[in-house]
Order: sequence, then C-alpha cells, then structure tokens
Amino acid sequence: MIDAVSEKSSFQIKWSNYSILIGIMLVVLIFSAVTDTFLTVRNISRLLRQMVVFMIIASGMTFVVSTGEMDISVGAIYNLSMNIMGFLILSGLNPWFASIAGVCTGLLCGFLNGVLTMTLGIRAIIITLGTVNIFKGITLVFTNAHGIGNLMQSNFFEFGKSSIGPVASIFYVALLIVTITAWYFNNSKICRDFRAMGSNIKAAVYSGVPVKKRIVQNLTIMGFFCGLSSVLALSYIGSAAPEAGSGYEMLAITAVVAGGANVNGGDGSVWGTMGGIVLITVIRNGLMLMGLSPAWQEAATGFLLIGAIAVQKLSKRSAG
Amino acid sequence: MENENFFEIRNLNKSFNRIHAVNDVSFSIAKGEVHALLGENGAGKSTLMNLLAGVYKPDSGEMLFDGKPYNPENTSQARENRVSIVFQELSLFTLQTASDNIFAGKELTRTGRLDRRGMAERSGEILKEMELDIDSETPIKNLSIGQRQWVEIARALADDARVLILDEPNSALNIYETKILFKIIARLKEKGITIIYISHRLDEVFEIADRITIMRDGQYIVTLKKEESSVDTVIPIMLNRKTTKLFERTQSEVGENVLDVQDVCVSDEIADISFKVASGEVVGLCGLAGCGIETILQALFGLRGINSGSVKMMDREIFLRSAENAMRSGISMVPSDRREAGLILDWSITDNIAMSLSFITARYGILNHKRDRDISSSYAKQLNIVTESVRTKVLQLSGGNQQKVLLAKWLATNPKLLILDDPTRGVDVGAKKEVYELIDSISKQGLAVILMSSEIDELTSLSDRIILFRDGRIIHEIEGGADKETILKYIAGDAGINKEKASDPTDGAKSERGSNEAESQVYARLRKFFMMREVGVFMAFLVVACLFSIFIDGFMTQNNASIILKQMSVLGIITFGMTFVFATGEVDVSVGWLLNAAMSFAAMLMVKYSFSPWAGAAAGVCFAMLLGACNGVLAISLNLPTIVVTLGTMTIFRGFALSINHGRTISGLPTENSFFDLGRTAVGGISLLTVVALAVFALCLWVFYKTKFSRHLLLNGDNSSAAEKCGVNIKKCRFSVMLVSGFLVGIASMLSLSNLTAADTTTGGGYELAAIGAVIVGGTKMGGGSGTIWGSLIGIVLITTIQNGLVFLGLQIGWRSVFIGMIIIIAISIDFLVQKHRTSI
Repeated sequence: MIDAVSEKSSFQIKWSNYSILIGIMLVVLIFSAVTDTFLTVRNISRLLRQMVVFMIIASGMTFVVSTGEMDISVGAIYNLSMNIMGFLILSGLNPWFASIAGVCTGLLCGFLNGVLTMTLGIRAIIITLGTVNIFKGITLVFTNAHGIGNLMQSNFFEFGKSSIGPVASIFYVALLIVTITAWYFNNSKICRDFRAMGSNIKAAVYSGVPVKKRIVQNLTIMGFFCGLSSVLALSYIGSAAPEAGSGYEMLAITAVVAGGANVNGGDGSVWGTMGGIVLITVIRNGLMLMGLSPAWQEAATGFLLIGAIAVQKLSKRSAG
Repeated sequence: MENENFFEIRNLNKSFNRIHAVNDVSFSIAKGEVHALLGENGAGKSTLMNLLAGVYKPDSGEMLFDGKPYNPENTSQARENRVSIVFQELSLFTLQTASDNIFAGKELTRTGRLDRRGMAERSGEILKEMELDIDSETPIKNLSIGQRQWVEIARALADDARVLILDEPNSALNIYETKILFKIIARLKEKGITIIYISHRLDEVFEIADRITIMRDGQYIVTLKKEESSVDTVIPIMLNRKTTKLFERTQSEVGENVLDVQDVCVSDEIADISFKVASGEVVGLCGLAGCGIETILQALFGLRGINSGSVKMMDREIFLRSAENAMRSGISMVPSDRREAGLILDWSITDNIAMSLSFITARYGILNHKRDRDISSSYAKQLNIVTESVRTKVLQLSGGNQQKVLLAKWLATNPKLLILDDPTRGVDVGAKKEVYELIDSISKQGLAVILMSSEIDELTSLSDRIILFRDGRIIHEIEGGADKETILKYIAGDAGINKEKASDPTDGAKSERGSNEAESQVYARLRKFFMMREVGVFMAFLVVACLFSIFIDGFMTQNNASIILKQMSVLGIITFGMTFVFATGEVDVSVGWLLNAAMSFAAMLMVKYSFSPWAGAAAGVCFAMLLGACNGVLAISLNLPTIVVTLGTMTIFRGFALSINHGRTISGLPTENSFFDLGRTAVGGISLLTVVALAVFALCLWVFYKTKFSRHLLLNGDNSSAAEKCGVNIKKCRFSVMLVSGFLVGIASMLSLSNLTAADTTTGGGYELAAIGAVIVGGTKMGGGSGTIWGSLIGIVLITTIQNGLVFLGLQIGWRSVFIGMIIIIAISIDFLVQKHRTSI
C-alpha cells in the first residue's frame, strides 16, 4: 500500500505511531500488574467488543479532523439512529431493513450538519454544538425518554451476539470496515482534498477542490459512520437507551489526536486513530477493573486528550 | 540636513540559525531625510529594520539615536523612543474603528478609564494633518486597502514618531494610491520626521528619496545621494552584475485563437470585456488595483460566476463553474500568492503538483500515486527545481524553487491557456529571470499565456500585446514594446477616457462619502438603532413574553417572574463571562461542570470541615478561579484554541465534582447562616440573587467598555498577531480571560448553592450551551473582536423566558434540548444573513 501521508513526513508519523504503541504496551503492563482480571481471555474479548463502536466512529472522525474541523454531534447521531432502528424493529420491520434505515438516519443527520456548516460558513464544531442538542432532543421526544427493549428474535441479533473463537463477529466486521477506510483515506481523491482543505483552504480552491461540496461530504461521511456503528451496536446489545452515546465525540476526537493527527487539520491516519482507540479503551477498562467510578473513566479521556496534544506539540517543538 | 549622524548604526550583526542575515552593518541616517534602503530579496533589509524597531535583538553591535545609545527590548520600547515601523503586511484590527487601531496597545486612559473621546479627537487630528478624509470612527473593514495603509501610518504618527520605517508600504497599493503615499511622505518630511523607506520599485525610490543605501547579502555596500545616481547605476550595485533590460523574448509563432472572450460581465465589477488570445501569444493585462483584472481572471478560472457574455475555448463555448471545470477545459491559473493560495508548504513537491492533477490521474475517485510521482518528477526536472527528491517538503525549498513548484503545479495540468497572476512576486532577480525564460519557452511551445504583473516593465518586455483596464472595462490595447509612460497615461492618467475624473486622488473618496452624508441624519440614526442587534433581540423577547402571557395562565405571575429572574441570575453571570471569552476569540465549554465542581467543593468544606458558609463560598470562588486558570495555562502552553482544551477539561472537572461528592447530593448545609439568605430574601419581590447578578452585570459592563484590559481582549480576538506587534501581551490576555470566566462562574456557583441549599450532581450540565446560545443570540460574533454585554443580558433573558414557558407548556426535557440547539443555529443564521445583506448593499 502506498501511503501518501507517510511519504511526506515519514519520520514524524512513524514516531507518533511508535509512541502510541509504547503507550499501549505501558498501560497494558501496568494494568496486568495491578489487576488479576485484566489479562484474561474474557476481559480481552470484552475489550475488543467494546471497541467496535468507537473504532468506526473514530475512523469517521479522522476524516473530519483532517479537514481541521471537529464534529461533536457524533454520539447524538449514533444514539438517534439506534433508537430509530429500535423503534422500527418494534413496529415490525425486519431488523436487516431497519439497519438500512439506521444508516440512512446517520447519513441524513451528517448531511444536515454539512449543509449548515457549508451555508453558514462557521466552524463545524459550533454548528454541531447546536445540532447535538437537536439530535439528543429528538431522540428523547420520540422515545418519551424510555428505553426500547424486547425486540423480536432475528438472525440479526444472533449475528451480533455470535463470536468466532473468543472474538465477537462484529469485531471482524469493524476491522474490515476500518481496513477499507484506511485504504480509502490514503488513496482517494476526496480524502486528499480533505487534507488539502485542512492545510490551506485557499490553495485547495485554486487546485480545483470543490470546497463546499467537500464540507458537506465530509460531515455526511461522518454521519454515515455513526449510522454504521449504531447498527453493529444494536445487533449486539439488542436494545436502545434514550441517553446513550454521550461522550463518544470526546473519545473519538481524543483517539484521532492521540493517533498523531494535527488538531488544526492537514494530516491524520486511520491506523493511528485505531491505536488511539486501543489506548483509550484499555485505560477505561483498566480503571473500571480497579473499581474507579465511571466519572473517572471519562475524566481519563479528558486527561488523555490534553496529554496527547501536549506530547504532539512537544515532539514537534523538539523536531523543529 | 544639519545633523548627519542623527541615527547611527555601528557594526550590527544578526544571525538566524546559520544564516548571517545582517553582517557587520554600519551607516548613519541624517535628520529629516528620506533614506531609501535597497537590495535584493534576502539582502537583509527587513531584518535590519526589525532590529531598529525592536522586533529582534542584535547579536552584537550598537545603535546611537540622537547621540544616545539605543537598545530597544521590544516594539513598545522602540515606540517610547519614538521609532516606529509600518510593517510589510498590514497589521490592523478589521472590526475595530480607525481610532481604536491608531491607539491599539497604547490606549489613552483617564483615572483608569479609557478616554474614548480623547482618542477619537486625537486620531481625527492626525488624519486631518495627513490631509486624509477618513472618519476616525469607521471600522477598518469598511476601508479600502489604501486607506488601511494610511491608518497604519497614522498609527505610527500617534506616537509622535521621529523615525518612521516604511517597509514596502506600497506593495499592495495601486499607482493612484502610491501617489497619495508620496504626498504623505513629503508632508511628513516637512514636519521634520526622518523616514527610512524600503521598496523594490526603483523608479519610485528615486522619486522620493534623498539618499539611498544599498545592501547585498546582509552587508552594507554603499550610500549614494540621489543626485549622484540613477536607476541604471544602482541596479548593478544591487545585483553585483550588469543588467540592461529585463528580458529579451524570442519571437514565437502566433497560431490560432485559443481563447475568445465576448462581452463578459461579472456582477457590477466588470462590463463588456471582450478579447482574444491566440496560441503562442503572451497577452499582458495591465491596470490599477481594483480595475477588474482580478475579477476577470477569477471568472476565467471558474472561481467567479459570469453574468452575461460568452467564453470560447478553441471555438467551443465553455461554461465555467469551478477551478476543476476550467482546468478540464484547458485553462489553468497560477495564483499570485504562493503561500496563501498556491502551495501547501508542509506537503511534498509531488503531493503539491499532484493536487491539481487529480482530474487527470485519478480514476473513480482513487488516486494513482505512481503516475502522480512520474509527472511531478518530470516537471521538476524540466523546470530545474533544485531538490534532492520530489518527496522533499516545499517548506524546505528556497523562494525561487517554491515559485517553480507553483508554476509546475499548473503547467502539469497540460493547459492550452495559462494565466499567470504576478508570477514573480516575492522572488529574487535570479529566479525572476528563470520565470521569464519559462514563459518564453512555453509560448514557443504554442501555449497561450495571459500575464498579469504588478511591474509594468515585466509586462512590456514579455507581452506581445498589452490590454489596458480601467474601472472594470477595457480602454485600450497596445503593442508589447510600448513605453511605461504611455501605459500609465491610459490606466492612471486621462488618456482614452472621459475627463470628468479629476487628477486629485482624494476626490474619489470624497464623493463616496458625500453620498452617505446626503442620507438624512435622522433617518440614518433610526436605521442604525433598529439595525442594532440588542434592539432586535429585545423585540423578540417582548413578542415571546406577550405570547406566553396570553396563552399560559400562570406565566405572568409574580411568583413565576421571580423564578425566571433567579434562573437568569446564575446563568446570566456565566453568560457575561462567556462574552469576555468570545470577545477574545475563545470558547469555554467547561463552565457547566466547573460550576458543579465549585459548588461541590464549597459544600464539602461547609459540611465536612465545618467552614463558615461565607468562608466556604470564598474558597469555592477561589477553586473556580483555579480551574479557570488551569484552562488558561493549558491553552497557552499547548497553543490550542480553548474550545479544544475545555472540551477535555470539562470531563476532568466533572471527575473532580464526582470525586468530591461521591455521586451523591451534598446536603445538610448550615442553612441558618446569612449566606443562604441570599437565595431566600427578596426585596420588593426581587430576590437578592438577582440584585447580586445585576451588580455583577454593572461591573462587567464597566470593565468591558471602559478598561484597557477588555480593549486588549478585543484586539487579541480581532487579530492576535497584530495585537502582539502593538505590544499587547496575548498570552496574558488568553490566560486572564479564562481566569475571569472562572471567577464569574465561581460567583454564579455560589449563588446557585445559596439558592439550592445543597450541591447536587447534575446542576450545571448544559449551562455552557445556554450561555453560548445567549451570547450568540445577543449579537457577539464568533471568532472574536466584538462583543456586547447588553446583548448578552437580553439574550439570556430571552432564553430563560422561553425555557420557562416551555416548562409551563408541559413540554419535556427533550423539547428544551431541541429548542436550545435550534436557537443557536437560528442566531448564527441571522448573523450570516445580516452580514450577507450588508455586503450586498
């Protein structure tokens, strides 16, 4: 695979890839030493299953961050699609068809974000600060703040709960999606345009990048990934909660940044992001095993985001 | 010139990394002269001037100013010594008024308050002295490029500068405006101000300078009197090699018509443009800035829509909708500014060249890396780009090589027509020659070339024909070899045009303003009043309040009003803090959980460590300030926008709160204490909380409009690099605004605690959105540089009223969430529409 990004700054990208590998090994070592339960087959397979949703959302977020933007409505979109699917399945629709509707919901929400960002010419982070409430609100309104459970029997759910060896089937699906995404990120015209926009928007315009179209596409793709992740999540969980998904945006952004992407846009790598996801999930899992409250698990993400940026800036400073 | 050694430079040295930018330079400047500094790019002129202005510190050597040693530590010290510099790139604050700009970083104060009146008067005087017709209360964004330059100079004069350094002041000016500049310089000289003038335009230098100093490769070469030298004698000294004419083009074969433009109009900027370009031909376009050349070039490259007329390529009509569209049709344009619009500096040569190639090499949206690399390698070789490999970052190349990459990028698209917009801007003489040779060779290969250049000499030596533009129309076409004076007569003089435009350059500006003044003053004032955002939001509030009181029974009761006021008090204080944050160009999304953490902290102190409530509250405020300071320190040390930092810290603060209260509401506070009277007591139906909030409002109002501190916040939000040059400590600004936000949130959290008499685990969640919503609704713009405390007050009143009404209507929390999201989006949309409306006027 030819990697346009690593070509341009092979040293730096590789360095940050190593640093995240070192980080992962470090926390794995620590948690294996501190807890008895961390390095067990049961825990690892649970870890991998937990990762599925974040893997997909974060690969989408890699696209968004590469343009220099951030989408903080991803958790809300994820949850909205999940509840809509749940609702449709409850009213008798075949789950496989419902999952198409779920993906479409994600697409639609992302499209809305994109169109608003494009027409109003304001950073996506602010627009999504507004739409996150709209999506959350809609979910609460149409579920009446009740969870959706007791969904019908279907091979859709059987698939979600099945596993091949100790690893959940949905993990393989997610891995496949991530692999395709990583290839697409490095080899597609659209994604190079995204990076160009993140680096120098005016130069992108003069090079023939249809910037407005790309902004919409960028956030729509993000929505699509949210929809996809919600399908996998629903197939495993088998129910939908009215207030799930909060904090996912933080997780995804943190993973992307920890994976070596510049917060101001212009680069990024999907595999780096995956490293970020592994790091975060391992830390959260380890903290849980140590019996810390969920708030601390979330705070850990905050620390990690700031820590990752700090490491990045410092390494850049020492390199420059 | 009684004082020959007014400003003396002795053995100055300055190195960057390994480059000896200023190498043992000594010379002196006489009092009251216009001293020009000449040299190629990289000769060290700008570095030397930055040493004089205190931007850099010299490695060794000394300077004597009026006989005394002069060692400025920074720009503000240089200004105190009355040495001022007008920078190459404009460093103005576009949202602020001319007067605010002139006094940026050195605001006049009277007993601690900003002396707005004094500043306006003084700026008016300075502008009048320069005989310029600029209203000191006009925001810079409404001024032309030329007028902006005058404001820059006025800024230097406001310091009573004795030495004024002008670093390429006319690079963005047209010939018309340059004339005004020279008038201003002459006037300043009369007043005894010494001027150091850097320019690349030699003919102009000889027009105004008394003496000329030439630098080469960081070294001082010679100082000449104007009378003793000429352009022809100076050039060889500058270059250390003889040059006679810019370039001698070989005659190329002119073939068939490539481009045929017929009667093209673009909005009201250009009209009836018709011209043809044949293969092998170089057609120059010439005119003053704003004459419409930029517009026609952008239209030809698909970046602007064409209203009427037709464009034909090779006798086939084409419709241009985007740059890619144009490139597919065989038109490529090399933009003038390679850093801004041309290249991505930290990408490799290949990636840069391949960017505009994707419509050729990519298939089904998938890139072909190998072909991209092959093509870019071949062009790198063809254009003689000096580099180890095409994978080198463009950043690491020299200016001339970067320019070649820029040309290669669009040549590689294999165009039939190449548009070159100022292809030699910011390149040294050697590289310029290579660009000329390239133009020559591509035209010999049969490409049609449209050339636009800021140097008329370049046009006359390179073009076959030159088309002259004026006021959005073509006024004449002349042969390539024509002399400069003829051209100037057409584009800036009165040849070939009706004579009603008088030659006094200030006329244009005057007539423009005249029409504004014709508008009736009363009408204008009324209009301004109703255009004010605060008024609009207040109207909206009245409408909402009326509707609610008609349709909801319990809404218009005293009880409910006091509930709204209480809610508003807490949120309001946060909103005022957020207004400061927004003015600085930052966003703080951690305020909600910060409030919760501070509440929990204070409550814990009161319950667990039996602090007296007042002491606990004080500790709570301090805690909030500490957390705010954390935000600030992180934002500065990581050099990150605060929205990213606070997105991280908000979860951390939440963790703090939960580790203090262990996920349970802290109750059992000593509620008999007078601290809790704040929430209980009401004076004339108005809770004490509201009284406190109003006091905070008054304080914020005063601080925001009357202090230097917030003035600096606004400057930083408007243009932080310019603010830094004006001596504003931007790091301090960013830090202190987060501290202020933390402090105000601390106050709000104590009010909230006094009201609730317990610290629960959820209060504060979502407050950041209400506050951001209120600030945006109130009319403070995103991105900094503006702000209105009044607007924020009305904004928060509106939001709390609507939220309260929705509760009455029995709408559940989901609807309230939808509503807040909608109001943010709607407020941004209104801002957008208003802006669009204004620019269209």
